[in-house]
Amino acid sequence: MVLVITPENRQIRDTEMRSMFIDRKKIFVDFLKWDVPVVDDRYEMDQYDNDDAIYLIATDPETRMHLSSVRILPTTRPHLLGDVFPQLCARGVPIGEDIWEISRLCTSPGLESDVALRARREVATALVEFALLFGITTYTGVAHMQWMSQVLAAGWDAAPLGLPQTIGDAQISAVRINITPATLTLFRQRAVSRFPVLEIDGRKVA
Amino acid sequence: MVGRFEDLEDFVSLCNRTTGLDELDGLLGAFVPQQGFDYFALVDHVDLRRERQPAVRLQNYPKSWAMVMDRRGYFPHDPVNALCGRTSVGFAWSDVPRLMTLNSLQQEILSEAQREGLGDGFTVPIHVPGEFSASASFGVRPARAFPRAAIPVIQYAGCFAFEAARRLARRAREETLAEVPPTLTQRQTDCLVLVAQGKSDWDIGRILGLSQKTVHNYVEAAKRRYGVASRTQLVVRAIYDSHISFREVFRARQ
Repeated sequence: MVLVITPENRQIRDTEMRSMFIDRKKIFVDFLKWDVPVVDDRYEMDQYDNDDAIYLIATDPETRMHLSSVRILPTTRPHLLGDVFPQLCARGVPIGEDIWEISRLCTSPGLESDVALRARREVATALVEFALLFGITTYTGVAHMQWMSQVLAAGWDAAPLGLPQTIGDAQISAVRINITPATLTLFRQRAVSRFPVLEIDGRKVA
Repeated sequence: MVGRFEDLEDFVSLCNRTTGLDELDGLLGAFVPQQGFDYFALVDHVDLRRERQPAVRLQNYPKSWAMVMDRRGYFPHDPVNALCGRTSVGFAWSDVPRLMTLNSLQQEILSEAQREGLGDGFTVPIHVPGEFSASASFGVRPARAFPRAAIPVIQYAGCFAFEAARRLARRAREETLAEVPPTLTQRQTDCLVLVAQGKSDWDIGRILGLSQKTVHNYVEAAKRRYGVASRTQLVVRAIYDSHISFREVFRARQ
């Protein structure tokens, strides 16, 4: 299952959130060497980890530890593409109530590869379910070019927002992903379970 | 003009809508020169001498080079393919000797490619978990300038074209399994009737008001749909499947 974490349930999901921020530090700071802020020497958190952010987190239900996650931000509020990488969008940054930005997609290091793969797929399916439930038609995001073929092969309906640019030693690019019920059908066909993966505390999902 | 985002957008949306490998072949045939290249190759890196059926192989490299490569079994030794396996970002072929240490066979492959009409180029590695690594390459004739301004565009174009090829190849495999006979477009059928009459691409072009190159592409596309290597096989298969009839073939002769 994939938890939806909003400001409403963040308190009771503190364990999962901390575990996610610790893994984000291991991945983005220690491994990928991104120049991003670190809090208390062990949490990777930046100015976008605020009350606008919603997290989709796949966790181990027994240990409550983070397996895989993503952060999503409304494009009508401050977000990475709008503030930091607008130059990647050839026709301006897409902004709208139905357009949200994906960032900090990550999977806990050191998981068995099948566990990691399942968790990543669950988060991907959760992104689609979340979009369809909450009226999101489009996700935007900044992607490394070397992941582009994987994004397409996974079945995302993606399109470039501009040409890739070299920043540091990375080729990065802005993309948009259109979400339709067909995306959900495709993802559920590949998943073990045909049931929704989203879990929202105290509310029925579907 | 090379390297324009608008052209990439058009190419991407056409790729997403393609319904056949021959159509994709045609798209690349138009897009690649627009970006200043002569050749393209979408290929997954199975050893073609051992695996008879690569999932994806779509290219317009010089015929002689493709033959040399197959005959001598260069494929598993090709330094461009080897480099694809260990890098995740695109690279220019002229940078290959700088990026890896070449053995003598690999050096020979690079100079042989030059002799057979393949100059510099750029390769985009394609890595999909659980599948063979693959690549999308774009090349120029020897001594032609390499359009570096096109690199951002072709990095994307390579990914989208390969994904389209993957999707279509997968569907083609499913169709083969279901033993559905291939279909031909009206234009492919027109060309095929004239091929069966023994006409050359130039003749056919004159008759149908098409360029020789376009006729060639239609016939090659029809061959791919049937999965055959020669025009003779193509005509025999098409008559057998009733795509064309003896009557059509002989009528125009009178």
